[in-house]
Amino acid sequence: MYIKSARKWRRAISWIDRVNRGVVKTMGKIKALIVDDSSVMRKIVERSLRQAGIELEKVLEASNGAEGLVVLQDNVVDLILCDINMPIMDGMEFVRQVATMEKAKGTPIVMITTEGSEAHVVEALSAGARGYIRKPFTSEQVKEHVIPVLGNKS
Amino acid sequence: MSTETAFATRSEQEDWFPILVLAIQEVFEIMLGCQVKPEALSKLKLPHGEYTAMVGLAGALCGVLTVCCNTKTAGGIAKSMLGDTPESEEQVADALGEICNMIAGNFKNKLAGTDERCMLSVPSVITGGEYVFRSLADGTCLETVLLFEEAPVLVRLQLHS
Repeated sequence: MYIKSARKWRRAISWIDRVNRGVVKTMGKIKALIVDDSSVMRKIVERSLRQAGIELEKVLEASNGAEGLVVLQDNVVDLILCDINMPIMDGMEFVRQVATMEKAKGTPIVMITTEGSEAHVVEALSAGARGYIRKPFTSEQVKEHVIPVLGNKS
Repeated sequence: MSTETAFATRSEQEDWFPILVLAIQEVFEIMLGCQVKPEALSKLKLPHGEYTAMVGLAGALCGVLTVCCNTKTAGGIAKSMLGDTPESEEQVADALGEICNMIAGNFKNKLAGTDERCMLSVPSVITGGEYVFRSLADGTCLETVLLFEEAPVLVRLQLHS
């Protein structure tokens, strides 16, 4: 879409915002899994989700991909947010493994990472991730990338 | 050095200083909600390295990025990130490590052509001041001091020649 004027641009943004608010309103409380080796970052991601207007019924945490897989064996979640650079099992391998898990297949995964190259984005998306957020990030960016994937929850 | 890793000359690397400063400012502004600017090194008493976070860079860009500050400042950084008083010393170290990680990532993402050929290590944090840090990176050293809550934070990027 090519938007010529600032007014049309603002109108488009306001429309996207209304759609997002509508999605947030209708989706209800969700269960999320946050996979990051930093406990501080896990708290920040959780806070950003809340600031984005997403109601959280339960937040599960894992400090690497392998721990994340264990959590998913016992829990069904609506959303996974995952870092890439982690010890033991990195985020890319985790995404690939989730795609093979009957219980977790189709759960939207959004990567949140300092790795911002196009190659990383392409690799993550082709492995099964639905979104990609670069650190540092604002809660607005979380809203922009997470709400659309929740809207398409399969 | 092979052609693959010969990404930039020493003089080009010295020109990266404003990019490093911008990367630092963005991380502090977005994650801590505060604006910082570089201060003249000569005017400041450099921080005694009670907390030193480091992230290694390998590939097209090879070296180490360190963020160094005193205990009180590290606690303040963690508090700003969390929006609450940190629960433990571990959480303070974790927060500073993440800041270092984000500065390194943001910096390399700003250098066209580097991001895909440069990898970052998982951050490490040293606590306690009784140590001497020697990097084997023998090339350009870019360093800046900024003030966070009026206390100095030293950010240093040492690159391999």
